[in-house]
Amino acid sequence: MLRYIGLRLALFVPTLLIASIVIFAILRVLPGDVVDVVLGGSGEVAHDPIQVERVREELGLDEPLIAQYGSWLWSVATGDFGGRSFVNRTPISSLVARQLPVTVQLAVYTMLLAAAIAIPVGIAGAVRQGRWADFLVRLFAIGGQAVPSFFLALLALLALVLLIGWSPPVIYDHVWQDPTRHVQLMFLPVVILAWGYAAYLTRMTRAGMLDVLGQDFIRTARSKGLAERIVLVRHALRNALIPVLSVAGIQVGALLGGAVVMETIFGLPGIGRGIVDAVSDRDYPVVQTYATLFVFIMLTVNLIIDVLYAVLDPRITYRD
Amino acid sequence: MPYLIRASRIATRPARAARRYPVGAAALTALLAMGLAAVFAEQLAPFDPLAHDEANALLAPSAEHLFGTDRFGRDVFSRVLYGARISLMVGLVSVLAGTVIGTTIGIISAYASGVADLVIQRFIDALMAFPHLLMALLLVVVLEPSPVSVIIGITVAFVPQVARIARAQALSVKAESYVMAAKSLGGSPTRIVARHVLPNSITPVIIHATGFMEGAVLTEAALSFLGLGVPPPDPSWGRMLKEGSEGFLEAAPWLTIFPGLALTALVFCVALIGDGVRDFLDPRQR
Repeated sequence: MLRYIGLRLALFVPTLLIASIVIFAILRVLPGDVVDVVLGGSGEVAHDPIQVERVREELGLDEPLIAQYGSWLWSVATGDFGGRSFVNRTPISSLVARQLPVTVQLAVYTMLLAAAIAIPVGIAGAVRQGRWADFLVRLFAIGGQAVPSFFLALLALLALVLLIGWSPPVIYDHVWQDPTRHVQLMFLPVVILAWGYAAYLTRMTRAGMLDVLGQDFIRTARSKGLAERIVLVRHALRNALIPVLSVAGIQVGALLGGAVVMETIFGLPGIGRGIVDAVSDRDYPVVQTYATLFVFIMLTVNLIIDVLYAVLDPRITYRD
Repeated sequence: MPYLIRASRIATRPARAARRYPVGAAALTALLAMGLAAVFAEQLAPFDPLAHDEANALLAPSAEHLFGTDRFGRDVFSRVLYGARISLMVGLVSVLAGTVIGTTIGIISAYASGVADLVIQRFIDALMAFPHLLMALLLVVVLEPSPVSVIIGITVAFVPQVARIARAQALSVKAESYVMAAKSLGGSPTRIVARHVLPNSITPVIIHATGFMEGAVLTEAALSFLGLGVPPPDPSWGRMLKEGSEGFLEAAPWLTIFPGLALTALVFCVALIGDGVRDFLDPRQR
C-alpha cells in the first residue's frame, strides 16, 4: 500500500508539469499574436507602440518559449505566482492568498455535504430496490444530474426574494470573521453544488450496494445472525464504496466547473470568479497561474482519493 | 456483438421496444421533437428571434408572446426555439468529434504499447486534470468567441476521457483469444484493429456518450452564461439566462425561467436516454 501511495505521489509532479506546459502552450503557441489578444482587437487596429512594448517585455515575448516557460515556472516555485496582474498591477500571490481559500472552502463543504447525503440515500435506494423509496432516490439522482446548477441558483434566488423577501449578503466574510454572514452566503451555492455532486455518488452507492448485497459473504454475515445495520455498514458498504470513490474523483472536475459558475452568480471572491474575470480582461499572467491552480486542486483531490482507495481496499496495488 | 441484433429488433419493432424501455422511448421521442423544433425553427417561430421591437419590451407571457419578450422586445419563445439549434449542434458535434478522436487515440495507445503508450497516457493524465469548463474556457478565449470555438473547446475537454475508456477496453480485447486467432491466421494489424478491436471496444464508449452529451450541452450553456460562449446576438440558452438574470430576475422572471426549463428538459432527456442505453447495452449495471 505504501508503495502504491508512493508511486501515486511520484506521478503527481510530472502530471502537474505537463498540464502547466499545456496551459502555457494554449496561451502562447496557438495562432494569433498575444499582444493583440491582450490589448484587444485582432490586428486591424494599430496599438500604441509603448503599450505594445510594455506587454512584450512583461510577458518576455522576445525570449525563446522555453525561457518564457522557465521563468514563469521559477516564479511560481518561488511563491511569486507569475508576477503581477496586467489589469490592476496587483501581485498574483496576494490575489491567490485572498481567493484560493474561498474556492477551497466551497469545494470542501460541498463534498462533505454531498457524501453525507449520497451514502445513506444510496443505501436506502438499494435496500428498498424497486419500491417507491427507490424511485424517489433515482429521481433525486437524475434531477441532480440534469438540472443545471446555474438555473437552479437563479430559481432559488428568485424564490427566496418572492417568498420571504430575502437575498444573500453581497459582501463575503470568512467563517472566522462573521460566521453568520459566511453561512448565509455559502448556504445556497453549497446546497446546489452538493445536489449535483451527490447525484453521481448516490447512483454509484446504490449500484455498488446492489452488487455487493447479492454476494455470498453477505448471506453468511446475515446467517451468523449479525444485526442488519452491521451487515449493511461494515460488510456491504465498505466494499460498495470503492466505485463511489472513483466517481467522486472523476466528478471533481464538474464540481470545480460548477464552483466557477456559482462564484460568479453569488459574488463569491474565489479563484473561479477570478479566472472568469481574468479571461474576460485578457489578463494572461493571472489566467495562466489560475488555470494551473485548478489543475493542482484536481490532482490533489484525486491523490487523496487514491490514498483512501488503498485504505478501503487493502488488496489494491499499483498496476498500470 | 449481440446488441447489434437486439438493436435491429428494436428498429424493426419500435412498439415492442417502447413497451420494454418506456422511459427511454419517451425521452427519445421528446428529444426527437426538440430536434425537429430546432430544425424547423424558421417555420415554427412566430417572430424573428433577433428583431428588436422596443414598444413591446419586457411583456409578460401572453397568447401573442407565449414566453413574453425581453428588454429589446424580442420574442422569448422564438429565441428559445432558435436556441435549441446551438445547444443541440454543440452537443452532437462535440460528442461525435470527441468520440471519434478519443477512440482513435485510445486504440492507438493500447496497440502501440511501450514508450508511446506511456507518453500518451501521461499526457492524458495531465489533460484529465483539467475541469471541462476550464479547458473549454481557455480554448475559447484564445480562439475568439464563436460557436466553432465552443465546439473545439468542449471536444478537446472530452477527448482524454474517451481515450482512457477506449484504451482500457482495447487492452482487454487485445488479449482475447479471437484476436490471437486472427493474428495467427496472418491478419494485418490494420485489419485486426478495424474488424476486431474497434467494434469490441466501442461499447463502453457508447455507454458514456450520453454522459458526454449532457456535459457538452451544460458546458456550452455555462460558457455562454459566463459571457464567454456563443457571442450575441445569436440566441443561446446560456446567454439568455445571463441576460435575463442580470437585473431582470424579479422584474421579468420569464426571461430566466423559459430558457432554463428548455435547457433542463434537454439534459433530462439525454440523461434518461443514457439510462436506457445503459440498461440495453450493459444489463449487469442495472
